[in-house]
Amino acid sequence: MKKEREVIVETTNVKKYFPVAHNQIVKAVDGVSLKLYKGETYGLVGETGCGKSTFGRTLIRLQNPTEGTIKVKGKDISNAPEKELGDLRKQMQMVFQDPFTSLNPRIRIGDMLMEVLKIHGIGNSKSEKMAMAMEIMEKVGLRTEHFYRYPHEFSGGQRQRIGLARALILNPEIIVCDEPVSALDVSIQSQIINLFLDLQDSDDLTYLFIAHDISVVKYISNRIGVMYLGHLVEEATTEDLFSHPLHPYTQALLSAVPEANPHKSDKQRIILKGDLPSPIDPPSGCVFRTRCPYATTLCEDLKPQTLDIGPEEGHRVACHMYAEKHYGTTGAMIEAKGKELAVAK
Amino acid sequence: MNNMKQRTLTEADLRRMVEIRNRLTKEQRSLQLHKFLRNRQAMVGLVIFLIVLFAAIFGPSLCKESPVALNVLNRLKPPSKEHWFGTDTLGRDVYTRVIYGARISMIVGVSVGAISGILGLIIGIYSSYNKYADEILMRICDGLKAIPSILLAITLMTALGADIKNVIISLTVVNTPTMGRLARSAALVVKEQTYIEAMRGIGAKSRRILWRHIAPNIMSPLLVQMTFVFATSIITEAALSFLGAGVPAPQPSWGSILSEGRTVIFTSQWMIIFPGAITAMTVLGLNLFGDGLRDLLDPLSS
Amino acid sequence: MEKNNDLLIVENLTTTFNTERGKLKAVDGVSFNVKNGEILGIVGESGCGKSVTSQSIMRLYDEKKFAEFKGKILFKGESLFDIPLPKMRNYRGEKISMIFQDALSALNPVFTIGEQIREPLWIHHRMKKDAAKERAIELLTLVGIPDPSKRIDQYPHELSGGMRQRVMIAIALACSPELLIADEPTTALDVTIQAQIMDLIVELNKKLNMGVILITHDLAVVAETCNRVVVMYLGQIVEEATVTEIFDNPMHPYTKGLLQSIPRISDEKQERLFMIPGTVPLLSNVPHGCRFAERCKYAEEACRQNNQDLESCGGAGHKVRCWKAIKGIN
Repeated sequence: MKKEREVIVETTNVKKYFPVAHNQIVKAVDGVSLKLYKGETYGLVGETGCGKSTFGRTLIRLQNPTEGTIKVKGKDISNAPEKELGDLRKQMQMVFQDPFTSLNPRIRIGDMLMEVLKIHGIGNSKSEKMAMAMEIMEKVGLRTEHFYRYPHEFSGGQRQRIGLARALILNPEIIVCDEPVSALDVSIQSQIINLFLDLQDSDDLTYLFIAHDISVVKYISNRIGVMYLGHLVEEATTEDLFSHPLHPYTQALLSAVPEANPHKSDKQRIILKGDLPSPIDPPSGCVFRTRCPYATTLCEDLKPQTLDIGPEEGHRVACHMYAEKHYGTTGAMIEAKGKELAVAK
Repeated sequence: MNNMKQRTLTEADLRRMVEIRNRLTKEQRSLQLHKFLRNRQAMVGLVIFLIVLFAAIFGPSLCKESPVALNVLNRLKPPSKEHWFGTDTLGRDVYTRVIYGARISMIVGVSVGAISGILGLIIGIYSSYNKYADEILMRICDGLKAIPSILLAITLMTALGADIKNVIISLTVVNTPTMGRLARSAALVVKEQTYIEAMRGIGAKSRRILWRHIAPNIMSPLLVQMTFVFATSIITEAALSFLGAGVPAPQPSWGSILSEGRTVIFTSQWMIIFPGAITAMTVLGLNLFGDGLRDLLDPLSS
Repeated sequence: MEKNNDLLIVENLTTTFNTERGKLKAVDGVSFNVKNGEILGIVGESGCGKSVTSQSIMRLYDEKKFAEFKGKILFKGESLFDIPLPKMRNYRGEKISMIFQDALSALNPVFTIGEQIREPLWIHHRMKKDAAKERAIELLTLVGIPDPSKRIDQYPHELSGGMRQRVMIAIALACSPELLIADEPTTALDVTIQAQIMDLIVELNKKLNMGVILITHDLAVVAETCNRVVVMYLGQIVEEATVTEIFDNPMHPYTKGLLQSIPRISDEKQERLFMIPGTVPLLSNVPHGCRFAERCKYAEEACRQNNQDLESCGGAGHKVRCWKAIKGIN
C-alpha cells in the first residue's frame, strides 16, 4: 500500500544556513531529505535548536533554502521567485506555535479571513467571501458571533482554532504545524489535536507536525523523523520507531520521555553526556558523536549516510553502527562511500 | 464536510452580521471610553488641551479688543476687570494677546505633530523594510539629530525668514528624525511578530504587509510621541519667538509676549506669569494626555 | 498524619488580588500539607492558582496594595503570616527556596554564577568569600555541573539551558533549605534535559531529606517524581491523593478527564483523545456551585447549586471535591 501512495512533498538535501556576527555561519538545517505522502501526518521531533522549525519554514518558503531542492507535487519550488509562490501558498499553509503573537491584534478575525481570500482573488463579492469565512470558522469550531471579535478577546485554544481557520481557508493540501499545541493547556490540547485529526479525515490533509512533545507526536503521526543539529538522524513509521529505535540519539530521546504512569517510572534512562554542540561549529563526521556512547574514530572521520535498514521498510537511519550491517564490513562501506564520491565528482 | 455545498448569505444573514458588527463596535468603543474616562490624569490633560484649543479657535469672539490695538496711555496696567491679565508695554491687552497666541501655538503644534508623525511613519516603515533605504534615511536622521534642536531651528529660521509657515517647516525638520527612529524601531519589533510571518505565508505582498499590518501596529507609540512633539513644538516656538526668530511682531505668540515682558519682569510680573503659566499648563496637559493615550491604544490591555 | 512530621501546613489559604476589575480570588480555601522529605505535586492548568499558592507561601506579593491573604501557613509549626514582613526575608532563600521556570531571566546576566551562588550565603550567613567559594563549588558539584571550579567564573549566557537550571537549583540549595518550591522547573527545557533535572530534584530530595513542592502542568512529570499530588482547578483543590492513587483510581471528573486527555507514550493509539469540553472560566466569573460543573459530563442540578467541600474518600488520605464520587455514584 505504501508504494502506491502519492508523494506530495519531497525535499532533497535541503540546507539552510544563517550568517551571524564575525563572518560565522549557523548551519540550522544541514541536508535534510524526506518525503511526505498524501494524507499522512509526518511528525518531526528534536530538541531546541535542532532546526526542525527552520526546516518547516524553509519548506513553505518563508525562508529561502541555501541549498537543496523542495518539490511540491513534482514541481521544484526551491528557487521559485516570490511572485510565483501564489499557488504554493494555496497548497501549503502553516499553523504557528504561539497563539498570542500569530494574530494581528488590530484586525477582527472575520476581516482577517476575508483578507486572505482577497489576496488570492477568491470569491467574487464581499458577501461570498464572508460566507466562506463563516463556513471555515464553523468548521474549526468557532461561532459566527465571533466574526467581528478581535484576537485578544479569545482564549489560547480559540486562537489556535483561528490560526487553523486562516490556514484552511485557502483549501490547502499540506499544513506545516509548528508546535501547534505546545502553548496550550492539557484539556485544550486534546481538543485541538482532535480537531487536527477531524480535519485531516474530512479534507484529506497532509501534516508536517513539528513538536518537541514526543507523546503528542506519537499520538498524531503516521511517520516520525528525528532531527539532531540540523540533520535528520532517523525516520520510521511511528510503531517501528517506538518499538525499534535505532539511532543512539533516538534511543536516548525516547528513554527521557516521562510516562504518566507511576508504575512504570523505574525504566532505564539513557543520559546523554555533555551539551548540544554549537550549530556554528558542528562536530566533524557524525554530528552526534560528541555525545554518543558508541562513538568510534570512524564516526569522527566519516559522516554517516542515511540508509534504509530498519526491520521494516522505510526505516532510515544515519549511523555507522547500522551501515556496517548494511554493507557487511566497515571496509566495504568506506569503499562504497569512495565510489559514491567518485561518481559525484 | 469537504463537499458541503457552498453556503451563500441571504439578505437577512447580512443584516444580522451588520447588526452584530455594530453592536460589538459599540461595545468595544464604550469599553475603551470607559477605560479612558477612568484615567484621571489623561482626562485632566485632555480637558486642559480642549480649553486651549477652544480658545484658539474661538479666540476672536472671546475677546473684545484686537490683540494689536495700541493704547499707550494704558500701558503696563496690572490685572483688572477690563484687562484680566493686565496690559503690556504698549498698552495691549495681555489676555487678548495670550488667546490669539494660543492660535499660533495650536497651529504650530498640530502641524508639526501631524507632519513629522506622517513623515516619521513613512521613513520608519521603509527603513524597517529595505536595508539600503534604512542606511540612507537613518544616516540623514543621525546627521540632523547631531545638531542641537534649538540651534538647528534658529539656523533654519534665519535662512528661511521669520514666518509662521517657516516655523512649522523648521520644527518639522527638527522633530522628524526622532519620529522616524521611533517608527523604525517599533516597526522592527512588529516585523518579527508571528502574524507578519503568517501574512507572508499566506502570500500577502510587501506593500500590504507594510501598510495594513505593520503600520497600524506602530501607530500607538507614534501617536503618543506626536502629543509630545506637539508639546515641545509649542515650547520651541515660544523659544524662537522669545529669541526673535519666530513669528514676526506684532503677531502675538506666547514666546514673544514673554520676550517683551522680560524687560519689565520686576515691575510688571503679569506679563510673564500669565503667558508662562498657560504655556506650561498646555504642555503639561498634552503630556498627561499622551500618557493616557498610550494605555488606551494598547488593544491587549483592554 | 502525625503533626510533627509536617514540614508545611497550609490551612484554608485564600489569596485575593485587588485588580482594576475588582477583587479576584486566585486561591480559594486551599489546604494541604508537605511532610518532611516528601515531594508534593501541585497540578493544574493555567489560571488554577497553583503558582499563586506557592508565591503566597513565600509572601511574594505586595500585601499593602495588591494582595490579601487569609488562612494559615505553618512552617515547622510557625505561622508565616504572623511574622513581620522584613523577617520573612530570613525564610526566603534560607529555609524555603524557590526555583522558577525561566532560568535565563531568573539569573542576573552581569554577575558570574559563582557570585550569584555566594549571594544568598552572604545574605543569610555572612559567609566570607573563600568559604563561600568553596561552598559554591560544592553546590555545583552537587547539582552535577562538570568542572565546577571553572564554571564558577562564567556568566549565565555562557551556559546551556539545562546548566542554567542546575545553577538555579544550586543557588536555591545554597543555604540548605528545608523546603524547595519548584515552579514549572522543566517546562522550558527539552525532554532529555527535563529528565536529568527531574532526576536531580528527586536525588537531592532523598539526599538532603528536604521537602519539595513541585508545581507543574505535566502529569507525566508528576507520575515520575512525586509522592503525593494535589489537583487544582480554578483556585480550589479538587483532589488530593498519593501518586499511585491518583493515576490508578482518580475520583474527580476533572482529574479523570485530564488523565484521559493526555496522549501517552506507551498506550495503544485510540481513535480520538478524550476531551474536556469548554475552557477554564475566568476568575472574574466563577460559576456558582461546583466550579467544574459546566464542563463536567456527570454534572446535575445539585452540582450547580452547592460546591462540595474537599472530603476524605477511600483511604490513604485520598480527598476529593465531588459529592458523586464520595457517594460512589459514578
